[in-house]
Amino acid sequence: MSDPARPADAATPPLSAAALGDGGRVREVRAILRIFVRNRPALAGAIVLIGMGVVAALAPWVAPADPLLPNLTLEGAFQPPSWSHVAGTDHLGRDVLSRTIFGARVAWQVVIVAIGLAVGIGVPLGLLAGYVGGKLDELVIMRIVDAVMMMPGLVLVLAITAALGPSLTNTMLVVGVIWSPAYARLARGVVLSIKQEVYVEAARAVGAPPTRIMRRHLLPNVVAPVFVLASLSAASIILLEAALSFIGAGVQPPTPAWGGMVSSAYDTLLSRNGWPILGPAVAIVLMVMSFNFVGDGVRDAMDPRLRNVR
Amino acid sequence: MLRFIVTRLLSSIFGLWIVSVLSFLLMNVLPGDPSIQIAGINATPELIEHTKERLGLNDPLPERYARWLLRLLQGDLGLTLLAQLDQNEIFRHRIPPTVELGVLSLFVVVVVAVPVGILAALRPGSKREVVASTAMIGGNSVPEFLTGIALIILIGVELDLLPVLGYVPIWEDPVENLKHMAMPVIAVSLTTTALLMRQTRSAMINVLNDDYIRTARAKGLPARVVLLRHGLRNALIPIVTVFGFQAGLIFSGSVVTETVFGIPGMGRFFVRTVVETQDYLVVQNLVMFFAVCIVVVNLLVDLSYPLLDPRIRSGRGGSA
Repeated sequence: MSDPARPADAATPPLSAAALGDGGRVREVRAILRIFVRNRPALAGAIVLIGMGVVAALAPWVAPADPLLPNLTLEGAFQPPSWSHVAGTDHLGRDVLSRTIFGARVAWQVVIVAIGLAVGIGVPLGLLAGYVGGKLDELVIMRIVDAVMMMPGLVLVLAITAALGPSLTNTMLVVGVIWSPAYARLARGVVLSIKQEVYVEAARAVGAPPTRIMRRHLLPNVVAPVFVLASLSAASIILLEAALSFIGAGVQPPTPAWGGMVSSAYDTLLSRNGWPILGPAVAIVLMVMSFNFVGDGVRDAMDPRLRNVR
Repeated sequence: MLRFIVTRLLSSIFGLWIVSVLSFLLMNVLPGDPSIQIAGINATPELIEHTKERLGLNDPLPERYARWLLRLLQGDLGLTLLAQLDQNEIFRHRIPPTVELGVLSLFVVVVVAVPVGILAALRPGSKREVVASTAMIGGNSVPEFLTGIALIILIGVELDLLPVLGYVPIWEDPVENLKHMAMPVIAVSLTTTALLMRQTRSAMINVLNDDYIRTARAKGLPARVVLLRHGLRNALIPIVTVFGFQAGLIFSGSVVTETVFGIPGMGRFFVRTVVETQDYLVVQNLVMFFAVCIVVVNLLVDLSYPLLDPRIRSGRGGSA
């Protein structure tokens, strides 16, 4: 499980990177890290996320019990927190803490795959649309991007789920596709703002093919804003995944996903007790809040307008 | 002015058209064969072929799209795939709760977020302000269904103040209706309120640093006048713009919230269709319903720009 709060090798600040060379790049990354670390909530968020990442990766060894093992005795289900079940047990007598720990795997998987997919689809499209430009860009690509971005993610994801059926794989794929227009628009905007720069002009003048210009001269400028967007969108993606599995259109039982755990505990809230809600609820809020703080911190650290470089 | 209104109207309609194409393609090109669903998994190939023919699934895509769009424009939503129910009838019952939930939530968001955001902007950097903006990120991190469940446990069960589940139409009993709506509205609007509060705060801080604010203060205008007439008036455009973006969040929030509170609206209908029947004929209409809601709110936002900014009214301001 990789950790998204890691600006290191990905960070290349706009415009300066090409001029600075590798030594300058290292200095820039250090400056960004320094500002990020000074932001207390962001640092705390990063630490929590690293912790959750480690726990998710080591779930089979960390979890105190088998997340799928039911205990169907009379006293097994709906146990309140105790030393043997720190977060209690659910309606089937399964250990809620273990299920919450395994649920972190689902959350991380969705975040990483969806963002990877969104970047992989969106950034090349945005580079192409911005660099090649013209009618295709203005009239077709950007109109579709606008229409997709106008619709709330949940509505689109639900519609596609109706066609493909609910599953973990589909959730990851669909969320990634839904988010790709945002990255396309971002990349396009950056390209439009720099494609008249002298070094791009020069590259074109010496006969560099468009693919090389896009890869060597345009792409590095896109990296930093994409990284900021990725850290900000992670929180929304967790919320979307949780909402999906809550309403039953995401990850299917018995696989533990936080939204689905809350949903099945909610069904018995009024007749039994609400303890099984607590574990996944805390996990969702903790993860989303950490991503929000980290996202804010990354944006503040990487946005050159908010910072005195000298 | 008229030109501005017409342009915005046309671009809204264009946006809706694109959504209709996307929604149709999503439901008709993606894998999943409705004729198998109808005829049953064990159906013979002949029966499946016959069902396809009957549903018009063998016709070319553009023709099917045109047929759907033309009926939609005439206000005919068609029948559901399996039960052959009249979709107009279903939508007529399901739309009022969702629209009420959406409108009430948008109202609450504005009434809470703007004043609190202004208060937070008064002393930037103060301890109280730091606490407030941290709390805003916090409020932004709780999914609607958890807010809803927390409200149900606290207000509905422990304090026993409000009814927990269900819905009473407003024309049958307005008081009961509002009682049932109170908790869902809070659940839907919390996230959005936090976002709009942040936006209001930063827009106000920007404006309050301007020279004309200092001038207004220097010439001895009362603080309230400076704040509201000089400050807020100029901060409103970015605030209103963000408000428009959030319409989508409000309506998608209703999908989850209606499920939590058992409100028989469009959101719950959407969820049940997706989970239970996967009826593509219904889903494409549902997507259009949400698109229309969002477009209407955004159109209202667009049309408020000329009222807020005289430069747009006279056509000199460009697009806001």
